Amino acid sequence: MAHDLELDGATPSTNGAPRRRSGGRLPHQLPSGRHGLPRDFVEKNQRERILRAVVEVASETGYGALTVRDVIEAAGVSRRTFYDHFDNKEEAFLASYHLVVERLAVDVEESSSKGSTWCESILFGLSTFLDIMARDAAMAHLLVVEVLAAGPPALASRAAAMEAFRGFLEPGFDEAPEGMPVPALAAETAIGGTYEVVYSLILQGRTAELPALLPDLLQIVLLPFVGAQTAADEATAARRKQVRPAQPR
Amino acid sequence: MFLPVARRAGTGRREPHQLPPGRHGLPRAFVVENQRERILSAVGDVVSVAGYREMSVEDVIVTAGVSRRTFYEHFKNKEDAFLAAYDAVLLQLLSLVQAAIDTEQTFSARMCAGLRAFLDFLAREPGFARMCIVEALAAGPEAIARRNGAMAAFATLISENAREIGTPLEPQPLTAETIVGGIYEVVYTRIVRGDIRQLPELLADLLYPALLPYEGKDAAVAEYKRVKGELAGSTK
Repeated sequence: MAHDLELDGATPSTNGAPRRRSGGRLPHQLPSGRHGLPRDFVEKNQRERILRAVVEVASETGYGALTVRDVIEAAGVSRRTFYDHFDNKEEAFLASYHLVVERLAVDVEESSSKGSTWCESILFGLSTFLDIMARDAAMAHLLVVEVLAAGPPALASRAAAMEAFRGFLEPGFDEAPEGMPVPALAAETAIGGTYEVVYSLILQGRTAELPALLPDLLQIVLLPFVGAQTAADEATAARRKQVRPAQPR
Repeated sequence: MFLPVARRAGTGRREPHQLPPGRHGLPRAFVVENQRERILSAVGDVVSVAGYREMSVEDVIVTAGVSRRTFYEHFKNKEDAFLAAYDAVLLQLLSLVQAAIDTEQTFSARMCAGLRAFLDFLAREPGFARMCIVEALAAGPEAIARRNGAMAAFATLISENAREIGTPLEPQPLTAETIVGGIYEVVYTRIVRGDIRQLPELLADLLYPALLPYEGKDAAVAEYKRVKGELAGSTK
């Protein structure tokens, strides 16, 4: 299923750099004035273009330097249209963030639910997460980097998202072998540790390298839950899977 | 070292530490140092309450009890002052952590001592804690670079200590970064919630995942129980 955020044909570039839109009307852009299309179709299209533009522009300028002007230019909408949908840049940013998180959560959940064991569900979920980040560097930047600079409401949204992703690790508390306590903070530190590593790479513009982290990250995340031996075995299996040629899409 | 600065200088009223305006016969270097430290301390106070975006030079000079001219003698703008405050706090934090580490011989003991010093400092200085852990990420690219440098420095501290002393297990190189990231995440959320004073109570829970990859389950569990017992037994 195509990501709605790719409506404007923002195919990811191979080096992970976002593609900049300049002025002028682009193929997807509706002709100005009356165009005989149902109003809610037009509105939905515009809203999504604005949200995608926020993703693209924020990844270049950072949240602080993000302007409505840059966004409307990139989205190919008028200022009035922007303010029909959003009160200000903060609101548009939050909407972008929520959309991105929701899509990500759905995809990770779908992938993770195919695991026949808890460890496998983490493998699949983490793999999907890293692949999606790698494919869309601008989105990764907004999700992981820019959100931290976008003020208290964004931080609250992020906290909620982190908690939701922690949910994937909750069953891990029941996985511990005999005599191995799992501290209450294990899920938090595992998520935080993953976040930091992912954050580093995204900040450096090395999103393409994210999928390669899978086996090591998996082992680190699983360790406090299932112990050293199982964590190592799962990582080895993941490494073997990576070496096999990719399935045709 | 920071002077114990009185909070909220108020309008026009002079605090004991505040120098009389104009000529006061003190060596300029002393006056300058005193003013700079007051400004840096005020940055920590103001930013932890107002947030970086809302923080103004006005707030800082009122809190510090210095004139606007004095502020601009020391710093170009609020970002400049913020970065200087950040650097000063980080330096202090790193030396405290290093000093604590140096008193111990084993990897476990060092990790415990360093982490304890870290959490204790944050709890003692909630304004600076918020400034460095939360606000730095919203204070522009230079502040973010500082913060990332600090994270890398702590990760290196862990992996270097493990390598030098030698540990039973040798986990992947990514491990140290994930430990620092995990601790950061827990500390970050507590600070955002306002639970800074309780941070030292998390020592055992934060120590365990840090030791596990290097020391193995039995040693990490033993250390966890020991520290947990200490925390339970200590009077606050």
